[in-house]
Amino acid sequence: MPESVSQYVLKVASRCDLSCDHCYVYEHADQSWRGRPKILDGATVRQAATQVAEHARAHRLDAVSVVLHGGEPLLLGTSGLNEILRTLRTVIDPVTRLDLRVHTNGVLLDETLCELFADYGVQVGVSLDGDRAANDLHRRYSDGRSSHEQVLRALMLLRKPEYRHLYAGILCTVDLENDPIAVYEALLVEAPPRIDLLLPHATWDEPPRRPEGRPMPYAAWLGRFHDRWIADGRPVPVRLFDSLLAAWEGRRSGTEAAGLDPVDLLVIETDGAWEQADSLKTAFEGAPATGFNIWDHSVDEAAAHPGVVARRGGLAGLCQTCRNCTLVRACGGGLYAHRYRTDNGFDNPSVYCDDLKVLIPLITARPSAVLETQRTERPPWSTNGLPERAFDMLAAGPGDRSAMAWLADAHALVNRPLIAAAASCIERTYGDLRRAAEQAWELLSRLDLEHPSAMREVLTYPYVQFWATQCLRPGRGEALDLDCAHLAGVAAAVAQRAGVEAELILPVRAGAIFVPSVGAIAVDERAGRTSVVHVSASGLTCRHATGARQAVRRVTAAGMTLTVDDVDPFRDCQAWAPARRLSPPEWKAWRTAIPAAARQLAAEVPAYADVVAAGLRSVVPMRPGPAGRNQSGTARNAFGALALALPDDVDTLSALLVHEMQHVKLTALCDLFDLFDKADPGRYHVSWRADPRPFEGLLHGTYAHLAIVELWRSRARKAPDGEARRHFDMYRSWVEEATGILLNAGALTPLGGRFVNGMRTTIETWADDQ
Amino acid sequence: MDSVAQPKTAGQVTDLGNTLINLGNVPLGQLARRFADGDAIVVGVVSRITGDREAPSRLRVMSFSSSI
Repeated sequence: MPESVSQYVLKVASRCDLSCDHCYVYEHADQSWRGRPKILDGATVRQAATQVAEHARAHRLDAVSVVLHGGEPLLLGTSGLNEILRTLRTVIDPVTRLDLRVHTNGVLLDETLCELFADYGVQVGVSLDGDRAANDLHRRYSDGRSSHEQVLRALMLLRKPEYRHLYAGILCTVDLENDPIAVYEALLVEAPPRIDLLLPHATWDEPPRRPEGRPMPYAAWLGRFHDRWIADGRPVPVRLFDSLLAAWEGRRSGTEAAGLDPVDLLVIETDGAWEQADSLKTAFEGAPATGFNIWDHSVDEAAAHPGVVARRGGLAGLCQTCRNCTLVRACGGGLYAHRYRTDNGFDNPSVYCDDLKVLIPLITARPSAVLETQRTERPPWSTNGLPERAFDMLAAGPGDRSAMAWLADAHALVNRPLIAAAASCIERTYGDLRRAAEQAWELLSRLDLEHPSAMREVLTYPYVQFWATQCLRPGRGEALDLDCAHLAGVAAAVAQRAGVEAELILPVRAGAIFVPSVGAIAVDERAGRTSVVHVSASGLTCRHATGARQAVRRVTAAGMTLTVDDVDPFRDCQAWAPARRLSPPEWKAWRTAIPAAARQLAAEVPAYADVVAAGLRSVVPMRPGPAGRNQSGTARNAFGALALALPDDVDTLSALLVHEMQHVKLTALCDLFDLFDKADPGRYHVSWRADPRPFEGLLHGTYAHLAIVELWRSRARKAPDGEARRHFDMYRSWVEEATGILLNAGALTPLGGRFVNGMRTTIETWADDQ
Repeated sequence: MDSVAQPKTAGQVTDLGNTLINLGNVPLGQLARRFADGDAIVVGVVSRITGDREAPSRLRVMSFSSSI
């Protein structure tokens, strides 16, 4: 039985609507496109489909893959593509599983075509060489216009929820002119499911461009791309790197550009000709030709062509240099076309051999286990980017500094789209407040590019996130004008932190202008609804200042620095009103109590103390609670902040701090991951509340009390026979009972189950604690 | 655990971890344009954070007194 073929490139158009000067189809040695029909006709596609189906039946293939290719396949339009896809499905589907793909430059992709591809289950790959500058180096129309905007529009379509499942990935051709990091970032922004990095086609006759003084420039370029990709935790599969590593480790490379796997691919041209790999067009005129066609020759006959057979020869089919090379199992001698030289054909190493020799050790030096985690389907409890160890440590109780850092980073990233969305509200505001917001947005957009760390510091100040969510609440009416203009306060804070001089119009609220994390300046009546503020490295000056200022005050102790914010207008994010500006004696009490509580936590529960120090950025003083009760709270949209009324003793304050930090952490996790079914209608009785609790309330209460158990456990060890022991027993039994309720409610996701089991394990280890 | 529930979050971004990595380097101005254009990823992140997930009790009056 001859070798089977399961992958077909079906040329449905031999012309293209772009005129990319690096295209191997039109610009390299083989010019056979000139004599081909412009499009594949109905009879040819039916015959091609019949050949593929018969071969699949004869070889009992489980699946075949057909890639619609060109030229530009979308030139056929909806009607032409519909006919082709219907024929392929009708003829091949009854025989074997058909994987359909289309590779396009994207410029003609629209919703109608996406609907068509959705109907036929066609995956879409799009070519993009990086950011606009990179893309415009080659990917232009014949009149020189850029195609970048059209390609981005196509990719945006593919990111839509209804078409996301069609998005196969991006193909990017390497060009040394482009900065690899800029290319990486531009591609990642498009959220592709996969990136295919392609070396530009070249041969020993027409070698790739190598600037003087830059040895192995392609290895250097790909190495930088790879290093950044590794540093980011391999956020997306990159086929070239994955394939080289897979081949090195003895797995299938999945591409003819790497490894020694036999080539399993044929091309069908628009005239029905069977051809070898498309890339051979770069070698010489007629290089891909077989002399066979779909009318007179079967797949088996085409696959028996000496050129096809030569690419199935594995190590024995390579030149002596490659056979002696220790890296050959990774590169497989490189892409067949890249080995060509006029005087001895393909009996050479790849023209990129020297680059591959540098690149392969770089890639294979990385632990493959990490790659496997990325490559394989994620288990149902996937933590989606959060290291599993960090997730499990959070579930067990305190977590650690690295977990808090991850949560903080995630919230820094969350806040960016939130702020951008809040800025979109500007167009619904009016008058001087609108002008204030517009001016601020312009400055903020610039500061974002020029001073990213100052930007991050301010955007992650807890009450900035709450402010952004307030702007986005529906039905804000005139309040939106004032809230949206707070963008100017945010911009002023970033400018001051970055040391950038600026003049901004700030909104006046309750007789003052407010700058988050900095403070407030009282203004007189002349100010009206706005006042002009000058920002410089030395501070803020305000045109209508009365002289009264309220700086946001800070406490530093036991490895942590936090604000005690009794100024920010958006600190009022609890159900209970915050305290007014603290009097000097009250402030003295706060700045004494917090360091004392931090020291106590460090002594009693050092792991929790560490997490409080790492994650707590601000405390809002609240008004005293009802007599004999302590009150505290956290707000969902103020990560890193908590609010409390200062209790009378340090023991209680330290307990409130760890208790509330549990809520801060769990709220952050719930923002990022689905731990439970939000639609669960159940109400659950718990020991610490008289009223039945919704599932989320039960989860939060349990997690908060887990920290309290550990605190009393520590205290009970010092005084085994006292009240501490009684408290430890009580809280431990509460948490044990509550974790049982959570696990049996049927409302946890797999990841949520893992989280609650983590709590449960902690509690169980303390069952015999004496 | 007897059974597990699948999240009922149709239309929401659920794997926010990876999504955020992809958004990390997008300039603020471009994020605003993508939000205005209805970009599924940007809108998905925003709606997840501002969505109707029940907030934890925003204030806790501790049921245990100073003997906590």
